[in-house]
Amino acid sequence: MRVIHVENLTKKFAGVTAVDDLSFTVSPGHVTGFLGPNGSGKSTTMRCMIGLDHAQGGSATFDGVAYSKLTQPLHRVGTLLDAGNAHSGRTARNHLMWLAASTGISKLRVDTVLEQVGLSEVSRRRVGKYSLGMKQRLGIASVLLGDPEVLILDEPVNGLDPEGIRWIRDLLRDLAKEGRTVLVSSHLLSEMALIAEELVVIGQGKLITQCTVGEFTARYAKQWVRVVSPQVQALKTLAVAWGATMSEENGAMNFYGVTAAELGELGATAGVIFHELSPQTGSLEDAFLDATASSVQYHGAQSEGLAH
Amino acid sequence: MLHLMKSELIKLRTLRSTLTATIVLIVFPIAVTVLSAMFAESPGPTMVIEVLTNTGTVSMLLCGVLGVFAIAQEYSQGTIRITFAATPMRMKVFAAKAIVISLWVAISVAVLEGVGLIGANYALDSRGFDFGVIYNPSIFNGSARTGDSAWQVLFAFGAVCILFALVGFALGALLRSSPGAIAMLILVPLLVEGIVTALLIAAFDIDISRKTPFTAAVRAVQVEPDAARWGLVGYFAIWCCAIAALAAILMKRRDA
Repeated sequence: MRVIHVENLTKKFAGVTAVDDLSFTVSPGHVTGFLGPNGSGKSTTMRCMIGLDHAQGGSATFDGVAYSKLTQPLHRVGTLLDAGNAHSGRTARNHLMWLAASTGISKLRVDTVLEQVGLSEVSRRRVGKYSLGMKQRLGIASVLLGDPEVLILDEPVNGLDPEGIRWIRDLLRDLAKEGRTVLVSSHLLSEMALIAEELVVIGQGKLITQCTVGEFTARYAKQWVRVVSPQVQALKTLAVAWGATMSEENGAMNFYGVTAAELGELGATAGVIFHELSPQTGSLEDAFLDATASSVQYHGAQSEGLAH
Repeated sequence: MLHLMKSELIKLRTLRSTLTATIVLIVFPIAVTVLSAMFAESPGPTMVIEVLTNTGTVSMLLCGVLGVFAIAQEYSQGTIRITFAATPMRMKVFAAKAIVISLWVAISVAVLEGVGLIGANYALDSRGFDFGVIYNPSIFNGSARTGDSAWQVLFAFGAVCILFALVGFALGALLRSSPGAIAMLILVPLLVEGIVTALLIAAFDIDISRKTPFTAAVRAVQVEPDAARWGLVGYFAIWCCAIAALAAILMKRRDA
């Protein structure tokens, strides 16, 4: 019970399509990142996957079984949709106790997961007194409670300090290594680049692409060649004739539309000396922004505009 | 189902708001009843039962508030998503919640009535009045017309409290908001039913005063009801079941 299949999932709210004929597959053994701009439908997709929201079309299955048909789903699929989903007047331990009782999970397991997420010492404190980071840890504890084979987490690193982020990064990697299926959404793309091996990228409820992180950056991120040379003017002339474009950056010249090998061979014909000739690839963040540029619903004002 | 009921019981007993409402609904009628037995000029079985059930009107409303808490707080705090994720069969959740809140209220009302009667009996005994209703219900001739015993009044009171809890629970599930559901629970019996009745009489000469559900519930626990006691309880129960059925259907259909 490890592969998640989402097929043609469609969800509309009052005529607005939040998820539009979305299909993707999540496999076990690695962390899959779920990316998309704000309002792209990530959280709605996750809610539809576990039956909290009713989809108008399509399906989400876990090894062919719909979530609503799973017996004791806490043991099969652990979900964290919002760390704030705990009563502020109840202690963390009691929060986990009622959740455990609903599926017959023992008190011992409650203590084990509290220990695992580092909340044992504050488990009898009311959740309302918790910081956002502590609530995230409590949310992770509720995910781990049933020792599930599939984990679905929406923005799990929100509010965590650097130590917490590293902890959850290692935890998710370890869980994936154990053969579990891990689907994680996050806006922290640098973090996603470190955690995820595969990506599902959506925009305005539609699938943009599903591929590995390497494939995604290769496909969407800018690629250029960085050159440091005492004879850069001669190289520029040759590159312009080749059809490349360029820009200067901190004493180096960036060439676009030409590979490092091609640029090296061009330079060699004119006896150009290279101090540096290195291929460069944009970050996952750059790739993400390029891939979803046409799907962003909410834009911030440009800094120039704010200055006036 | 037993796992779910245990889970719902933990939810109820681990919140201050629930415990506070429960303590007030038990203690307030007991205190007033015992004080009445201690200081009333001409106390007797009928007076004790009347005071207990009349002050118990507050308890009825608090039972409704408990019912609201049992579900509306889950929506306001977001825990309903965790509940439904753990148990996708929402009707099982609905049933478990309804059963647990009913049992919670039933036990609370049993404590209220038991301690209230024992306390009143002790107070009367100490003043030299013979009050044997808890030992011999036939001594009580509460309703000359129906001939109901004290137990009939007390059982009807318990049933109405449970129904109030259920209707509060149903309103909480329908409105998904504690303030909204509590406002409706208090305003409908105390204000809306009376206003609607008065307006209909004034405008169309139609009297629905004997058909309004919450008024029927209050009439059912009077020592001298103006209609068959259990008929009034049944009439209120039908309304409660109708509201609960609507709430159950919507709980299943709505997004969480």
